[in-house]
Amino acid sequence: MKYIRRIDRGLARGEAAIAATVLLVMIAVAAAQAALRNLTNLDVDWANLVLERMEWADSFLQKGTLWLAFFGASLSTYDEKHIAIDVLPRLAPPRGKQLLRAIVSTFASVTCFYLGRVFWLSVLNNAREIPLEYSVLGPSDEMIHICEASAEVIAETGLSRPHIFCAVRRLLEVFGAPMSTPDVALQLIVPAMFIFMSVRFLSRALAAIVTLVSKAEPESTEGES
Amino acid sequence: MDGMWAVLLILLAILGAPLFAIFGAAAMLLFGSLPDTSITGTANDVFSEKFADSPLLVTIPLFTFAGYVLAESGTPHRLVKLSRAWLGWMPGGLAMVCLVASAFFTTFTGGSGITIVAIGGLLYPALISDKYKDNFSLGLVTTGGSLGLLFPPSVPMIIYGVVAGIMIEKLFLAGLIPGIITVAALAIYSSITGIKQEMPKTKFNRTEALKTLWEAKWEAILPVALLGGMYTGLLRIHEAAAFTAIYTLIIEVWIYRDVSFRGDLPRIIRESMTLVGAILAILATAIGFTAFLIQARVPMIILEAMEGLIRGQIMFLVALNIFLIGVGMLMDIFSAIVVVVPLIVPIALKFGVDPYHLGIVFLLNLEIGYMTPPVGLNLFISSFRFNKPITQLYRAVLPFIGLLGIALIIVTYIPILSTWIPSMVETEAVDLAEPAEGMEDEEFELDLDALEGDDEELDLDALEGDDEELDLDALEGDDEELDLDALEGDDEELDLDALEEEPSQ
Repeated sequence: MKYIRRIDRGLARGEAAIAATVLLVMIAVAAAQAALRNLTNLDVDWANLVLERMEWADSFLQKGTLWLAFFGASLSTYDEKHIAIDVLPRLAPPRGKQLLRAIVSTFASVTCFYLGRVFWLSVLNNAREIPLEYSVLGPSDEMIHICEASAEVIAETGLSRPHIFCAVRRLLEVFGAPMSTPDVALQLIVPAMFIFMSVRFLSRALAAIVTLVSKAEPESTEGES
Repeated sequence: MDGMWAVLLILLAILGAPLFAIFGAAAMLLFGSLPDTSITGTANDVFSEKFADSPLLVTIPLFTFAGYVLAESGTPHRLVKLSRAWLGWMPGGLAMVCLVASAFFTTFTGGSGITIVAIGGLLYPALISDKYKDNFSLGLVTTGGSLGLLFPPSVPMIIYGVVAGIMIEKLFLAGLIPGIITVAALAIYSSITGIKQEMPKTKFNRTEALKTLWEAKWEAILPVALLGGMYTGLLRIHEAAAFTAIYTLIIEVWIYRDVSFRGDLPRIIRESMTLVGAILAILATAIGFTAFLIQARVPMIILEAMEGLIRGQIMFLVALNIFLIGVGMLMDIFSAIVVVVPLIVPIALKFGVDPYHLGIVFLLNLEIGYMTPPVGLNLFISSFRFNKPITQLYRAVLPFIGLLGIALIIVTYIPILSTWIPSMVETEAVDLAEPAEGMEDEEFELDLDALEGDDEELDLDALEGDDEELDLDALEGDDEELDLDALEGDDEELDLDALEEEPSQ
């Protein structure tokens, strides 16, 4: 149990670090966008040029929020700070608390697993659609994903292969998730974090059951805060 | 979903299961019980403008982060000093200080209870040492915990805007007068208490007042800059949120030096994102739950049931108030908004209630629900923070609930208080919440009837049924490719490029 807790704490620290990075970058991007937009309104030429190259910003902010939401949700699971009607857990005696924690965490674990599955199918569904800018006409006259086309075919169309995305796509393919666009690939965070939360809830449930069975004084499983 | 499942889920919720899991499980069970529907389609709503692609969603982490930075810094202290210097001369001055400082603070943290800890924690001991009665002081700081909900940029308001699909800039404006009324009601009560109990007053000292204002200048200017930026069009809503985040970060880390970048910031971010995750997890899973309610025509069923009993707008508003206070007592504000708003909005529209007025009534009701026994969240936070039995808090908040109740009655039955300011603002964007000009209520009702009628069911069946899958196949299948080929001819590529660029502007 001790090792699991240690790994869990390490993971939570990692999640917090990712969340912090995403948040700070998001703040910087959104603030830069605001500043540039206002400079553009004042007819500052270079600002307009930079702003045109920041087309990705809105999409980045949306996907960033999705990532923050699910890393945050996972941290909430770690810190046991999910919004809940917590009158009973507050009033219950220590052993009752452990019993409630065991029941509730098991339920949450099962639910998160199924939610993960539902969102996994949903993302796979989204990935089936290949938008025009990511598809080229293959040798046998059918549309194929730009990452799957040969260099000659791509050269003919005058497009260029997004190398970084194609590398990520190949990696995801190993897990059975060939993603069509970076946007869809970023959606994978939702099923991934639900499955992760499912495991985390399960470990909480097990810890509570172990404490109950061993009749030891329940120790606090509150997260570091 | 069988009745048994419903009972089981409610039981689990009472046992303390995370509400996002309850909503998620309910959605999956409900959709599983429907023939010819798939939950994956509904799950996809999470990636749509209903959640991930909503331009408002990004403001929630940004404002929450800013609120946490302010809470961790010397802001509460400076704010209390400032309000004390400016308001301390009035009868019940210190109580007034508590109200103003709390209202300011809650706007950024959205009634997460952090106000009670940050402001109440400072002011409760001061109130007691000034010989305010214990129950009055407790009630005051507990009420303060949700007092700013109607002032921009409160997070529950933003969530209401996301869920109801109305313009957040107008909703912010709609809350101004009702927000001032609630604060004023409590301020009058505080003054009367101050006079009755002959509370000490501090004399107004101009030098001191100006000195405290100077000390807190960076924070005091924030609401002004924020609202000014938003309503002059300099800042769009998510830019305003980013501005607030970066501004608070700069002033607290580099100007006041209250928060250290390496030492405190990682912890502050983590705590704020934990709350954001907890809120957004509910928002995300409740989408499936409410999608089911809409698909099962629950709002229409409620409406039909109500039509026999409730006649006219006033009666509807009375019923709404009673219902929402109940909701506020049982649910936290975020779940309440996500679940109840989609049910209420179509019904309120039918009774001719202005959508912005509805939003304010809704939020004020929940503000009261926050502190209503037995399970109002603020009661528990106060009980925990000030180490008082929960039953004492039940007694302590009663007069405050009464006062907010009066404010609620005023705000509910005088709609112009909420609709006047927003109506003065010309907005460029098309407001979906308002019927087009010249469209009379009757026509609107006719439209609704048409939507509610049998035809809709036929449509839904057609969409949900096997045919949809066939359609999808057709779209994905060979034919589409043929079409695409035709489209991709030399001339068209230029057009396509142009089309693709537009939406991202």
